[in-house]
Amino acid sequence: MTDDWAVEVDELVKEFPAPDGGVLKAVGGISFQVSKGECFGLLGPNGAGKTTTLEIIESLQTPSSGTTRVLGLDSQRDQKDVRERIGVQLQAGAYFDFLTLTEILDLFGSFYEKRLDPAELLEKVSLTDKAKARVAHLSGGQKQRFSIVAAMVNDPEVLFLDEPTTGLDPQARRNLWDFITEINKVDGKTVILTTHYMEEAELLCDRVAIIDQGEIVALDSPLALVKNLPAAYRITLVLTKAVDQADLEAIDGIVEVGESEEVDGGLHRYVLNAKESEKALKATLSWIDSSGSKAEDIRVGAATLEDVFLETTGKSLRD
Amino acid sequence: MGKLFVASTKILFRDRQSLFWAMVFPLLFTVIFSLFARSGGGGGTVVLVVDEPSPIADAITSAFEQSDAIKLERSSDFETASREVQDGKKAMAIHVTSPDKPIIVVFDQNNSQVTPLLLGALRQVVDAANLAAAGVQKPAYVLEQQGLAARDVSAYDFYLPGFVALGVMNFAIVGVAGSITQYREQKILRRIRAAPVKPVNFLGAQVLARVMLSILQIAVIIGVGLMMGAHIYGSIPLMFVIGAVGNLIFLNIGFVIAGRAKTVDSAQGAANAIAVPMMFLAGVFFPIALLPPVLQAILKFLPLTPLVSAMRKIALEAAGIGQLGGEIALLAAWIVVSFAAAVALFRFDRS
Ligand SMILES: Nc1ncnc2c1ncn2[C@@H]1O[C@H](COP(=O)(O)OP(=O)(O)OP(=O)(O)O)[C@@H](O)[C@H]1O
Ligand SMILES: [Mg+2]
Repeated sequence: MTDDWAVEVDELVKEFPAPDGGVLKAVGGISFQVSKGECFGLLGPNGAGKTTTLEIIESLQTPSSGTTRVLGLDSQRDQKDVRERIGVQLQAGAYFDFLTLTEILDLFGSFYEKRLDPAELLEKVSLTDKAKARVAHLSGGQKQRFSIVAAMVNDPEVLFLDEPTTGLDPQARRNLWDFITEINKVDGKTVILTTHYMEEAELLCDRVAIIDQGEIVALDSPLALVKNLPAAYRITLVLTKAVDQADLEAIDGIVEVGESEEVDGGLHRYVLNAKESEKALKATLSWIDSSGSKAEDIRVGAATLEDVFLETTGKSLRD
Repeated sequence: MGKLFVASTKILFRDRQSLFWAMVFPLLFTVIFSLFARSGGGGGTVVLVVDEPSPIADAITSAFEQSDAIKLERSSDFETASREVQDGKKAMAIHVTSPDKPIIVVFDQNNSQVTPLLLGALRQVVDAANLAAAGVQKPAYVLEQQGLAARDVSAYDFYLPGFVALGVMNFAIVGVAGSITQYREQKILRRIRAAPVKPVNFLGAQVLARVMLSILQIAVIIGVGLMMGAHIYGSIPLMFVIGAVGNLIFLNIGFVIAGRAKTVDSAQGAANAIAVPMMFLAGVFFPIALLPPVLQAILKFLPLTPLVSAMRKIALEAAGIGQLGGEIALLAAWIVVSFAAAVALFRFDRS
């Protein structure tokens, strides 16, 4: 049965001594499984325990209690075999300043029984023309691509990426998303990544665990997480006349009314939250007709993981 | 392991800053001190001022011209010559006026190396001339001088082996402490740990590459020193062996620092806090024999002291392993102690 999972985390706890003499629970007893070929995301704010969780799975840290297994192997007991079969990109990890890209890949490849050709790896991330360059001479996006490919020198079965797109501009981030999707969907590698960005998790991950203060507060596919919100959709209206908030709340299918504000030219904007989009939208349109006001603009949007996070933890994902 | 060694070596050679510490810094000493040592004390230049030709003037001239160690200059201005002696530019000035007047000699009282030799030579010439003038054909007492083969050791010869030891220490302590801490800060050590490779392989490759570079460093310092006129009387290969052995001690100390330091800055600070005082207290620039005995008894146990002392004994006294028992015992003790400390205190990667 264990063979079916790429990663299993069982009741994992990690405590650190806190500066005040007490204990800091970085990971508070979490469990989850990742199946082979899946792209799994750990989404959470700073200090949530994402890196700690990954590093325990990667056998780089020891758990206070609980177990983690990779491809059926215990992270602690079967350290060497685990390391042989995984790829690890560390959060903000660097490589030797004075070696070329090829030399670094060649060196790290020599640590593994199974290894890929540096030229082939660089080709994969379009860094062939930088083969003789040093890491310091790469752009932010190139560096990040290199650090992922440097985690793949051993053609790993499970790839761990800790905040692979942090600090990148939108263009570079999109490039990296394409690359990660290719690794996961085309090469068929299991990918486990951490991120602060909802759109990243929504786009890349088959399933997402939302972590806060060392606890998993929600775990499902991005779509299901959003769908299960009490208000999965959001209708934004721009009306020509101000209307009564209580009237809006009375519309069939509207769960709650969010913020309202006066916008340019005497227009008024209202945000309505709804459980289902179609019914609520129809009811809202007919209410507008009967109210004597006119709609300048109507938008319907789905809630995001940001909303899921807000709903489950009561706070926003980024401070 | 092979690839790690090659990579470590490449990094050492491409890292200009560490090369600077390894090569340029001790070389700077080697070159600057050669200039110093040369101009110091006016060397063996003697100025002779003769107002009126006389047999004694001829005798002095021929005696001093024969000697290789003495450079004889002639001048007609004794006042200027005296001033040059006072300024340390000349070793001695001799004024031979007329046969019935005393010969006047001025010399640098403080130059204990050269002055006695010159005075002795001069006195011999004058005594011989006096005997001849008194009609003595065969002196009643003869002093036969047997050249004791004391080596002609210059101040520079003394400094050079010290600089070799200094270079070995600096490069090892500062280099290892800084670079290993940096690798940890950059998470390179953790990335290595994430691979199925033993950290000790990485550390072994580092040590090998550094020992190799330090051998090259010793070669460069000795080479430049010899070019600048230093003398080494003993076995140069033995200096390499002792240097490489001493290097291990300082690598261990570097690993201890790297194991404790949290940042590169604090690692380099700690490394310099150890290396710089040792540079002055271990006899690199002056013999610790000049210090109070209590202090000597303590400084003797610094790890750099036996290294400097061994290098110097080989270079100046042509000592072989047999004559280096004390130094080798201290070095061996330090290797054991520093290795134990490194094993106990070094952390490859904190987690
Ligand atoms: N070595 C350590 N010693 C003490 N506390 C630690 C240590 N490592 C992590 N922590 C603490 O554990 C908690 C979780 O840290 P972790 O790095 O896992 O968070 P994260 O979710 O990866 O955050 P980020 O998004 O900022 O990377 C934090 O409060 C952190 O300060
Ligand atoms: Mg993190």
